[in-house]
Amino acid sequence: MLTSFIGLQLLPQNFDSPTSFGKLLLTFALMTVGGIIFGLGVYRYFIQPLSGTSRISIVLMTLAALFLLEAVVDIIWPGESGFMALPGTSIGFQASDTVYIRLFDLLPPVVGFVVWLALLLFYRLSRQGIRVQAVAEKSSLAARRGINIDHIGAVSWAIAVVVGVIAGMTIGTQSVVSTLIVGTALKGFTVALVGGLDSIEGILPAALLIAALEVATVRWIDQQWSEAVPYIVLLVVLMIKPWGLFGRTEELERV
Amino acid sequence: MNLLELRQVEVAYNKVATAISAVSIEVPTGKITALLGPNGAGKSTTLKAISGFLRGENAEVVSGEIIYDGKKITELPPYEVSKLGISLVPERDKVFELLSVDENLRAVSMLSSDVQEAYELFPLLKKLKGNTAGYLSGGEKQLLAIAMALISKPRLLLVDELSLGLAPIVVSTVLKELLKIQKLFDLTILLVDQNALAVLRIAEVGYIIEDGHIVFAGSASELLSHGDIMEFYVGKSDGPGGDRTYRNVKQYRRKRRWWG
Amino acid sequence: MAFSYRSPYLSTSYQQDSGLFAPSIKRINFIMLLVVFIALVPYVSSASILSVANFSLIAIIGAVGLQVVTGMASQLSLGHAAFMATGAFVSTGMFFQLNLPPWLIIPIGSISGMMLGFISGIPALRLRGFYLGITTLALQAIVGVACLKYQVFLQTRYGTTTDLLLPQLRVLGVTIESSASWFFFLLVVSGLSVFFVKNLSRSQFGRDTAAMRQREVVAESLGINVAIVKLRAFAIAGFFGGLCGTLQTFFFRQASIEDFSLTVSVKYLAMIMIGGLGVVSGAVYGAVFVTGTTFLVGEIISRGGLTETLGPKTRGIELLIFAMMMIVFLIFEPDGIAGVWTRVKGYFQLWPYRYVSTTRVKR
Repeated sequence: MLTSFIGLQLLPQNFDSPTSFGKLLLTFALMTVGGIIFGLGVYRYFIQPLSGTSRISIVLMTLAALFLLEAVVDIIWPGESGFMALPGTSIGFQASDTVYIRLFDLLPPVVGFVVWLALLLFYRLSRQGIRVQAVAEKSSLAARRGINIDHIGAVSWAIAVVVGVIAGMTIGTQSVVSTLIVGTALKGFTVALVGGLDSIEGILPAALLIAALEVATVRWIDQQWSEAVPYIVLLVVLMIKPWGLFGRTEELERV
Repeated sequence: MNLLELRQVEVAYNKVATAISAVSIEVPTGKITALLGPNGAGKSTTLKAISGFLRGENAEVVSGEIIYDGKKITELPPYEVSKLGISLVPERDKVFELLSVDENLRAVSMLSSDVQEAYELFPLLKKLKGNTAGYLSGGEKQLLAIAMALISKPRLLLVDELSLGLAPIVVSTVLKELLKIQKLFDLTILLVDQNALAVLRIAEVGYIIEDGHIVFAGSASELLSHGDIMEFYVGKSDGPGGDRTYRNVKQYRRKRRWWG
Repeated sequence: MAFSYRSPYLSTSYQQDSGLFAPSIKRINFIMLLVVFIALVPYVSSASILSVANFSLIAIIGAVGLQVVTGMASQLSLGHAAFMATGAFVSTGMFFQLNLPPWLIIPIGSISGMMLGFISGIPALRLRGFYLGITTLALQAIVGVACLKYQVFLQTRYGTTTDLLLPQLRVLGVTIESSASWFFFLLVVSGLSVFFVKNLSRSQFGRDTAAMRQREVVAESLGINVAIVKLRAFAIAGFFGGLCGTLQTFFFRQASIEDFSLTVSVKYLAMIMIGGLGVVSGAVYGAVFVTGTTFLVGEIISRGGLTETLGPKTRGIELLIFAMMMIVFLIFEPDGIAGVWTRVKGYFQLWPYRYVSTTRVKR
């Protein structure tokens, strides 16, 4: 559970801009496959050697991986930023008197919802998903009962990377693509924690809450403070409910 | 025929601290064997050595061999050991507390039919299907743990400190269930426990380990009739009055006789 | 042996064992080395080496602070740069808005860091490990925004960034201007910091944190007030972070929010991990190592005449090397440089034996 969220939030993806719909699908498919391979690679070479060491080490390792990627991106495309232009930007409909919704504005929420639903179903209902939860809780017991921990870890990372890819591409359609995406990824962390680290259900309400507050801040205070809003919410929520809004309280000894 | 044999096994932690040495145990096929002894004697280490969990604790088998079904399994990792049909029910951390009973069973099984079989063997678990495992009572947790261990249809079942923290009547209930299972599947079981009396009632063979060495081996009836063992591990003495009371406390530090 | 280092087998009393330089000739060796070091460095090294040394010394101050909270008290702190930023901007503000003299600014900057540290510590009373780390991250972000706003405010009020210069540092009447004078000044300050933290580790605080590192619940049941200790740890980290940030601002004559990003926080974490978690010397080794290598990369690029092709990518390459260093150390040397050093010392101490056996004599 933990690893999949860490991975999810810490891997920014950057791409160039396709212009037609067909190309878009192809890029997407390629990135997904590439993402899976990449995720497995990261797991095998960076995370697996560390299995059994302290949590701090693993967190630092993921951060190191983040920097590595950022560095590579910076080196290959220094200072570049681009925009993924989607077709159909002009198609839209009038939702109400003041609100005009373009089709591609709907993309993030729809994609987000679909991904969320898929993850929810996977983790709560499928045997494999339950196994991941088991490993996250007590890996030694899982190992004894024949669950291959390395496979589970690899799968978690692959999922995390793929979701990261999807996230990156979706963000790419909405705003400028640059290394600053990392900031958005970090905001994702706050959502995960506010919702509860082992609760997929919690992600949706948490995300909505934080996003709403962010937008409100932009509207009524200013844009710069809105950057801090997710973190403020995080602090407030964690002080009241240390495991997040929907987290299950038995996290006691997870240091 | 011995399904499992330990031959002069010596285990050391951090390369320097010996936990058990010259330990030789024979676990006959299809029978229940007991490994008894006080705290810190090396019982858990022995089980860890068999199930491959030493590496995570920075320990290793320094000398000796562990033979299972005629094959050496001394340095195999846990995943491999479990594939060979050896299942260990650990002392702590025996169930996934955050998951429900049903999810626990599903997590460790491959087929739904396996889960159904488990429910047939343990109707109590079927009743508790949707309950979160962490909220089960001690005895219920132990049954769930055993059920989970049995799902993979092991040939050798190792149970670590089954009786720990359980009321005497619960202990005997669980042991009865275990005996039933054993007869049903002709399972070989190695029970490690401090509760000598309860375990010796269903075991056929017994070993006593102290300070890392095996100090006694024999059939269960031999152990039950051995004066010293009864005194030290059960509290009975054959002095005046039979059962021990505080009146007989003076004899508590009687020198150990059985190495003579 | 002239270089007989601290050996756990040679103490004859508790006092000796917990002394700063336990029984040995280490004390003399250390002082000798120190004298040689101090005397030679400023005069023998080139300007760039000296500036690296100076920057390393500043880093050491920050690193030992982080070591107290993350290494000793084992509370993950991902927001160390926030403490530095607080120190930096409070100092800048103190100067421009209140016109305070430097000798007053430095303590105030440090104390403001300490206060932020204290605030950071509060979540530690409720949260552990990863969750706690994220709250420190959260604070980092919030402080980041706050400082950004403040920076903009100061800039509009008092001029553009380049004009936000702090005056030369005047200590005891001496203006610290040249690299050499900075070196001595920083040596003193960082030396005192290291000494302070080292003493902490030998004190009740050190013993308390050692217990907490092992099993917090047990430590609490033994009567250690875990909450207070954690708060103290964070406060101390904040203090040194603030001091580090303040000095850095004076050193570079200005403060800019980009110097206190998440990357910097992680850099400090990397310092103590690479150097060795939990030991004061680890913070020192790590600080010097990380600062040194980052600088080295830049040097290699410029000296190697690759400025044209790689110039604009310098930042990326530095980050790359940094990330790789972290990864290598995390996988291969989790105990850090201090760990390696301890192993080396141990090897020589015990030679020709390989280890001290604790096997009981068999009956």
